Amino acid sequence: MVRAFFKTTVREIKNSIGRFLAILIITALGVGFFAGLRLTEPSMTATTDKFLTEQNLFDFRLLSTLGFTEDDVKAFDGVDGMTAKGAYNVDFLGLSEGGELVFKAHSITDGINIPRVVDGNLPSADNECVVDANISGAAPIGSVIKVADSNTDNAKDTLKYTEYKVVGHVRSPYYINFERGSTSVGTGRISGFIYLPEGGFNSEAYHEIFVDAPINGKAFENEYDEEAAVISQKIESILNERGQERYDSIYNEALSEINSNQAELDEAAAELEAEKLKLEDSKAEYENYKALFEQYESFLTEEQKAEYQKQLDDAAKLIADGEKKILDAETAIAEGQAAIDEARSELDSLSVPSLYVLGRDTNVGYACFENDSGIVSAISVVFPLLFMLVAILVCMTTMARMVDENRVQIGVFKSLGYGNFTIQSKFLIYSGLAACAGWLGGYMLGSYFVPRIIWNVYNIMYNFAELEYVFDPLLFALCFLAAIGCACGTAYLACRAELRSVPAELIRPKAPKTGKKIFLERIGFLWKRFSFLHKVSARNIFRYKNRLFMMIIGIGGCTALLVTGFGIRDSIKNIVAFQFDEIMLYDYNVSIEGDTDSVYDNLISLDGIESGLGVYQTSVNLTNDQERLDTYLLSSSDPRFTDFVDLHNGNEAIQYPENGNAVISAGAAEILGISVGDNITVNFGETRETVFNVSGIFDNFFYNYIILTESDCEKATGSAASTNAVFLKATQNENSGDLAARISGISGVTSVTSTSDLTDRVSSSLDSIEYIVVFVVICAAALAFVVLYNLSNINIAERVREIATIKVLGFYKKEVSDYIFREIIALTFIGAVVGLPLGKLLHSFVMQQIQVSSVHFENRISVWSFLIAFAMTVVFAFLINIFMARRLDKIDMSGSLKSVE
Amino acid sequence: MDQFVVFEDVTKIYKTGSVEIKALCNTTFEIKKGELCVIVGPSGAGKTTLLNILGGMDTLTSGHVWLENKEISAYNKRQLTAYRRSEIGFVFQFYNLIQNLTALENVELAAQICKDPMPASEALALVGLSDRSANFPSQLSGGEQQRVAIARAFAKRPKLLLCDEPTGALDYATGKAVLKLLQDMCRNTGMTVVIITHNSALTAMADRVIRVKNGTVSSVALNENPVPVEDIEW
Repeated sequence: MVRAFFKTTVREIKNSIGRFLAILIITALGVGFFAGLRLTEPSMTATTDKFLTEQNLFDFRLLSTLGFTEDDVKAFDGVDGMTAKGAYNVDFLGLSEGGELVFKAHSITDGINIPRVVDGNLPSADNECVVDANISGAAPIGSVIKVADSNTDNAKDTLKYTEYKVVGHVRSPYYINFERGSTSVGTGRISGFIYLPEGGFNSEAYHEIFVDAPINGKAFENEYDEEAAVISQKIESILNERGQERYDSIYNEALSEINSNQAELDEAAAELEAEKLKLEDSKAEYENYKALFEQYESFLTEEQKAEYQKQLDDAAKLIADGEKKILDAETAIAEGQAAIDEARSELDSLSVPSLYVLGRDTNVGYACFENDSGIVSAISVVFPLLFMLVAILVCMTTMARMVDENRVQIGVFKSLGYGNFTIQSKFLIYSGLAACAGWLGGYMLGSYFVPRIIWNVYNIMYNFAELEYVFDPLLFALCFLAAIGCACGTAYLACRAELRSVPAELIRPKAPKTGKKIFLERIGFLWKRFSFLHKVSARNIFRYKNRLFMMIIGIGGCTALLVTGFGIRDSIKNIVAFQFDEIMLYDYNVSIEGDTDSVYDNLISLDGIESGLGVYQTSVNLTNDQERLDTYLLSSSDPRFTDFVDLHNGNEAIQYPENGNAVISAGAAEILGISVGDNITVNFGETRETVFNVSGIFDNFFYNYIILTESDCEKATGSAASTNAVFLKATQNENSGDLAARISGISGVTSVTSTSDLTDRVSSSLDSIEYIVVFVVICAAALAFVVLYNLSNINIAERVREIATIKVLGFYKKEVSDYIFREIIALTFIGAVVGLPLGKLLHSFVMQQIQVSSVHFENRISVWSFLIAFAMTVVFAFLINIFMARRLDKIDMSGSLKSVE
Repeated sequence: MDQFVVFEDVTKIYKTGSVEIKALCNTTFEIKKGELCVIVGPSGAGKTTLLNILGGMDTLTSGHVWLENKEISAYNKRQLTAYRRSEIGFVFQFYNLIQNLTALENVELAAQICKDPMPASEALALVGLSDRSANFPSQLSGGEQQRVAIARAFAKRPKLLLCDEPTGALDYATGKAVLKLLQDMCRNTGMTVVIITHNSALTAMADRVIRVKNGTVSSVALNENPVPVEDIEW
C-alpha cells in the first residue's frame, strides 16, 4: 500500500471520528448483543455443570416404600463403576433463632451431593449440623436448632438428638434454585435444608440411595440424558431384585417369628392339655376316695372321719383351683392365637415395595434450571438480527455519505493512475477498521457483561456460583464475518457506482440530488397548509430512501423492543393474580387419605373455613404425535365445582364436561395444538390409553389440567375416582399460616398447598422480569441513539452549507435547529408508529419462545405499554436533538461562502 | 452623519492554536446610502473577513462598525442574527440555494422571516424569472440560480445588499447580466449594494471603489461617472 494513500485513510478517520464511531458502535452493539445472548445459556449451563460436577450431584436417586438396607446399598456400589450411598432425610419443625421453621434434614453422603461450605465448616460431631445459606440469618453459626416437641413421633425417633449445633452454612447441588419443596409438616413449606452426619440420624433403614454413575455427558446436554437412560435400566433391574429381596427378607423374618410364636403357643397348649388330663386323673382319684370314704364311713372313728373329711375337702379345693388355672390358660392361649392370626393377616397384606429410580430431571432445581436457561437462547436470535439489520443500514448510509464527500478525491486518485481496487481499499479499510474494532470491543464487552447481567437476574432464583466465562471460537469467527461482511459489503456497494465514473466527471462537483415533487404535493389542500419549512422537511424525508429505511427500521426497532419489553411484563405480571382470583378460586388444595368422608367433614368444620369441595385429582399424560404433557386430572360429581374452579374462556363460561367429553386448560391445548372438537388422548400409567372429545378449553396460567366426569376418570385410570383431595375456601382475613397448620393437623391430611403461598413465591420470582425490562429498555435506547445520532450527523454534515446559508439569512438558533430536526422528529414519529405493530409481533414471537410447559403466559400488551414505548422513543429523539443542537451552533457561517467541495 | 456604513479602525485577528493571523488591520472606510460600492483586492487581502464583519457573520477584535448610526460591533449573537435577518441581503458566489425548494420557495424562505417582505413572485419577476418559479435549482442554469439568489436577498427589502464574488462561478456573459441586474437595482431602488470581487475591471461600474491589500484599505476612490456594466470589458 502506498504510504500517502494509507495516510489519507488514517486522516480520514481522524477527521470524521463521529462517523467512524457510528459504524464502530453499531457493530459493537450488534456483535455484543448477539455474542452475549448466544453465550448466556452456554455460560449458565457451564457454570451449573461445573458446580454440579464439583459438588457431585447424584445421577440417580432411588426410593423404596420399604427403605433400604446396607446390603441394598452394597448391591449398587461398585456395579459398572457406580458409587452408591444410602441417605436419610426427615422433615421436622425446628426452633431456631428465626423462630419455628420447617427444616428438611439430610444426611451427609460421602462424595455425593457434597454441600459447599459458604462459611464455617462441616459437622465433626453427630449433634452438629450445617444449614442452608439462604436462611443463614435464622440460624447463625454457634446457634442451635431444637427439634420441636410438636413433631410427629416418627420425626422425633428419626433424629437422634433433640438439638443440633449450627457449625456452618452451605449451598447444596440438590437445591440449586430457591425452591425447597413442600412437606406435610407445619406450614407445608420447607424453609431450608440442614445437613447432619449420618450418626445424627437414628433409623433402621436408609430412606433413599444416591447413585453417582460414570456419565461423561455434561449436565443439561442430550448426551447426558442418553447415557443416563441406559444406566437407568440397569439400575432398575437391580433395584427390582433388591426390592423383592427386601420384601422377602421382611416377609420371611416376620413369618418365622410368627411361626416360632405359633410353635411356642402350640407347646403351651399341649402342656395345658397334659395338665388337664392330670387334673381329670386327680379328679377321678378324688371321686374314688370319696366313694370309699362314704362306703366305709360307718367303720371309722369320729377322729378318723374328721381327718379323712378334711383331706377330701383339701383335695376338692386343689381341684377347683386347678380347674380355674386351666381356664385362665385357655383364654391366654386363645388370645395368643388371635394375635398370631392378626400378625399373619398383616403379613399377608404386606406388598412388594413400590420402587423408584429418579433421574436428575426430577430434582426441582435442576429441572427448573434447564427450562429457564432455555428462555434466553430463544430470544438470542431475534434481537441481534434487528441490530444487524440496523447496522447494515447505518453502514450503508454512512459509507454512502463518505463516498460522496470523497468524490473529488476519488477522481484525483483515479486521474493520478491509481487502480480501482486501491481507491476502494480506502473505504474498505475505513469501514473494515471500524467494524473490526466494533467486533472486538463488542464481543469482549458483550460476551462478558450480557451473560452476567442476565445471570444476576437469574441469581434471584439460582444463587450458587459466579458465572463461568465461555469462549466460543466459532461464534467469535461468525461475529467477525458478519461484522466485516456488513461493513465492507456496504462500503463496496457504496463506492462501486462512483468508481465506474471517469475521473473528469468525478473531479467536478456532483450535481446535487435533484429536488423532487413528492406525492404529498399532489394533495393540494394539504400541501398548501404546510409552511415551507415543513415543505423542505417533507421533501427531505423522501429524498434519501435508504436513510428513510434506516430511520424507520432503527426507530421502529427501538419502539418494537420497548413494546416487547413492557409487553413481556404485562403478560407475566398479572397471571398470578388472574390464576388465583379468577380461575382457581379456592385457598387450599388439601390431599387426603383414609376415611375421606370423615376427613372432609372435619376439614369443613374447621374454624376459618368457609366451604369445601371434594375432588379426585391425579396425574396423567396428554399426548399427541410428538408431545407428551404432564397434566393434572380433576374430577368431581359436585355441581359446585365451578364455584371453586371457574371454567371460562375470555368472557364465555365453559360447561363441565359430559361423559365422553373433556375440558382442558389453554396451555395444554396450545402445546398439543388442540382445539375444541378435536380428540385428545389421555395416558395413565404405562399402557392405559383413553380418547376423549375436547368440548371446551378454559383460560388457565399455571400447570395443565384436564377435567373429566367421574365415570370417564374411571375409564381413564382404571380405578374408581373417589375423593382424594379437598379444595377449601377460607373465610376472609384468615391467617393462612395458622390455618394451614390446623388443616395439616387433621388426621388423614397428607399435604396442604396454600394458594397465597404459591402467589407470593411466584410473584417474587417474577420480580426478576423487571430487570429484563430494564435490559430491553437499555438495548432499545442504545439502538435509538445510534440511529438518531447517525442520521443527525449525516444530515448536518451533508447540509453544513445549507445550514450556514440559512444562518446567514438570519434564522434564529431555534429556527435553524427546527429546520434540521423537524425531519428527524417526523421520522421518529413514523418509525415509532411502524414500531408499535412490529413490537406486537415481536412480543408474541418472544412469548411463544419462552412458553414453558407448566406456565401458560397470556399474550397481552396493555395500552399503557404502547403509549410508554411511543413516548420513550420520542424522548430519545429529543435528547439526541438537544445534544446535536450544539453541533449546529458551532457551524461557521463563513462555510456558506466556500465553494462546493 | 450622512454616512450609511462606517468602518472605524477595525482589526480582526484569527487565532488557531498559538498562531495568530491578522486578517484585518486598522481598517477604516465609509459608504454612503444608495451607493454601489465595489471592494476589490487580491485573494487573501481580507475582503471576505470584511464582508463577514459587515454582514454580521463574524465579530471583530477591535474597532467599530456602524450601519445607519447603529453600532453593529456592539451587538451580541442574537442581535446579530436579527440584524442579518432584517437589514442585510446576501448574494453568494455559489448561490447557496436550497436544493429541495423551487425557485419561488427559495425566495419565500427568506421572505417569510422578515417583517415587510416583497412578495416572492414580485421579487422573481424583478430578476426576470417569473416563468421559472416552479423549477428546482438543479433545473436552472448558473446565471438563473444566481438571479434567484439575488431575488431571495432582495425580497427581504434589506438596507444593504452584500454580494460576494457574484460572478465568480459564472461565465462572462452571464456574469455581466447579473452585474447589470445589481447595478440596475441599485439605481432603480436606491438600495446600497456592496460587491466584493478580485476583478478590478468591475471598479468602473461603482460609485465608490475600496481597494484592499494585506488586510487593510489601501485606497478609497469615488467614481464620478460610473460606467454601465454593458460597457465594461474584461
